[in-house]
This record gives sequence, C-alpha cells and structure tokens, in this order.
Amino acid sequence: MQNLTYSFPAQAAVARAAHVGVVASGDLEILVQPPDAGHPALGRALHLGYFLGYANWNYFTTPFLFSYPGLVANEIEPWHEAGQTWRRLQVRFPSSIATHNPEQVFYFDSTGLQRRMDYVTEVLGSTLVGHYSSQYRSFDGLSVATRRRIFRRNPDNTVNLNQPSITLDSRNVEQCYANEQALP
Amino acid sequence: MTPVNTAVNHPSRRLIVHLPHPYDEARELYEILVPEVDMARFGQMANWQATLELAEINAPHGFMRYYRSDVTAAMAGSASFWKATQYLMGNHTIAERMFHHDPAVMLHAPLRTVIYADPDGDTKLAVDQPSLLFHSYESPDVAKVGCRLDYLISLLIINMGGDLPSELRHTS
Repeated sequence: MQNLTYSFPAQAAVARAAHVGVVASGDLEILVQPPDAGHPALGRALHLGYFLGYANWNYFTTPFLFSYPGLVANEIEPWHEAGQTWRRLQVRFPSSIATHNPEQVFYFDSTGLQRRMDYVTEVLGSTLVGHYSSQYRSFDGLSVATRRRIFRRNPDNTVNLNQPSITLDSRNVEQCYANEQALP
Repeated sequence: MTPVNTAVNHPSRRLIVHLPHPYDEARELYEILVPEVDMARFGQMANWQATLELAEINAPHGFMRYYRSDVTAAMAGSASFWKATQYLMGNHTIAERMFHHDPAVMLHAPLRTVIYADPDGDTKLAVDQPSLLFHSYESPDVAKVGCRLDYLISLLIINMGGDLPSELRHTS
C-alpha cells in the first residue's frame, strides 16, 4: 500500500509513504518531506494531511512494515488486560520512516490480531498514547481493523478510558497495487 | 403497577453443537474467545461511554465470561464422571439495550452455556437460542437484541470450528 487519500472541503490530501501533499482544485500536489511538513508556514491543511498520512500509512501497513530495512523488533514480556493475555513486540523505527515516535510497542492476541499499540505522539505534545484496534473485517482476504480508539496512557502502562478518545473508523478498504505485475 | 402475578409460557430451543476439538482444547479455545469479564476495571469507569469502550476491549468477539464452574471437579467422588464446564456468558453493554425496556430480561442475561464430552467422547456446546428467550418479553426492541445475540452465537460457533445449526443460519 503506497497511497492514501483524504477528503477535505474543496481539497484532498494525498499521502505517499513518508511524503504528503495537499491537492487544491485537483491539479496541484505538493510533496513534502516530514521535517518540512512541521513548518508552520505550510498551513493547517498540510499539517493535518501530514499527520493523517503518516499515521494511517503506519496503521494500514503494520505488521508488514516490520520487515522494512533498519527496523528492529524484539518480543518483550506478555501483557494481561481485560481478561486476556497479549504478546508484545517492541519495535524501533529508523529515522527514514515517518511515524509517531521511534520506539513503539505492539500487542497481539492469541489469534495473531493486533489489539493495542503504545507510542508517543511527538507531533502533538509528546502525549503517551494507548491505541486499541478491533472489529476486524476481511477485505480481499486482508484482515483489517475497522475500529480504532486512541486514549491517554498512564505512566504505569494502563490506559485511561475515562477521557474522550480519538476515533478512527474504516468503512471500506481497497487494495491497490503500484506494480500491476505484482497482482496475484 | 397491577398487583397480580403473571406467568409467561414461551418456546425455547436448546442448541447442541458438535465441536471438532477434544474437550480440553475446546474449553481452552472457548475461554480465549470469551474472555473473563474484568469487573474491577469496569468499576473504575467514570461514564457509560467508557464502559462501552472497555466492553469493546474485553469482548473482542462480543461476549465475556461472568461465571465458570468446573462441573467435573464439583462432582468428583460421585458416580458421575462426565467432563463438563458451565458458564454464564454475555455482555452487559448489550444487555443494557434490553434492560432499558424491561428489567426482567436479566433473567436470561447473561446466557448459560455448557461445554461437555458426551458418552462417545465427542465435545458439545449447549446453549439456549437467545432470540427465542428474548422474544418472550413481547418487546420489538428486546427481540431485536435477541437476534443480535443469535448472530454473536453463530460467530462463536464458527470460530470454534463447529457447523452452524440450521436454526442459526439466517443470522450469518
């Protein structure tokens, strides 16, 4: 998966892996590297596009993303939560991958589905975050979490569900192949 | 409120589903698919929205376990030596959609389930079909939730490798 597109009023954002651009009137696309996207002069739409672009690109490409060069993953002790035991993978991302922060922890249930991920949103005040994924559906054979809820995480690694969450719901997922020869 | 007793006769259907795994494996799989409810954490939720979010985490397939009893252990020493475990299985955030209309529905929520090995050693899951239980409350709102519970039972049976009984096929 390489491209993600978001609709804004009279605009669209196009995210291509670690690059993002805002398309105005359908004919202008600016691709910006992550460091530049943080510049205030680029405006709110580009900031939002950058955030949504890199975040969703990460979400939709995990766990395949873990095979990227320079990425280091180690299993750490399991985590017990809500009557379940989840195996955990601590992942360190190289600087070449735009993501929330370099070190993140991913939680998987006994069926292999990702249930939670922990990270720090460096672009939003370095907030500790616990991010839950659920309601997996199959799209062309690919199992995708269609419901995501992101909460504040406490220093003891518990998650505070009492505060409002960021919500992300996926209604449809379409697989596109950059290389048609890669089609099955 | 009318100070009279009432009696409700209603149909019930017990579903007995053959499971492909040996008893111990089937029980282990069931308890993974239906995690134990974390009542301590539910007690820490400050509002109903937070309760709904915790239920989403605690019940990835819709149901949680509120009670478990190893019947085999309870009957140890008797002449009855079947392998059997009984459970109360449900989701109180789903039950709330019925409880909102009629508190009496909690007679049938959570649902009773039993996993056991029959005389041939085959593993079975027994449960009363929820939609029939909840149709008896004569409320379309309650009945609708009963049908939703039929669907979740169907998912559970599929995830446990069982064949759907014909009485549940309309839900899948």
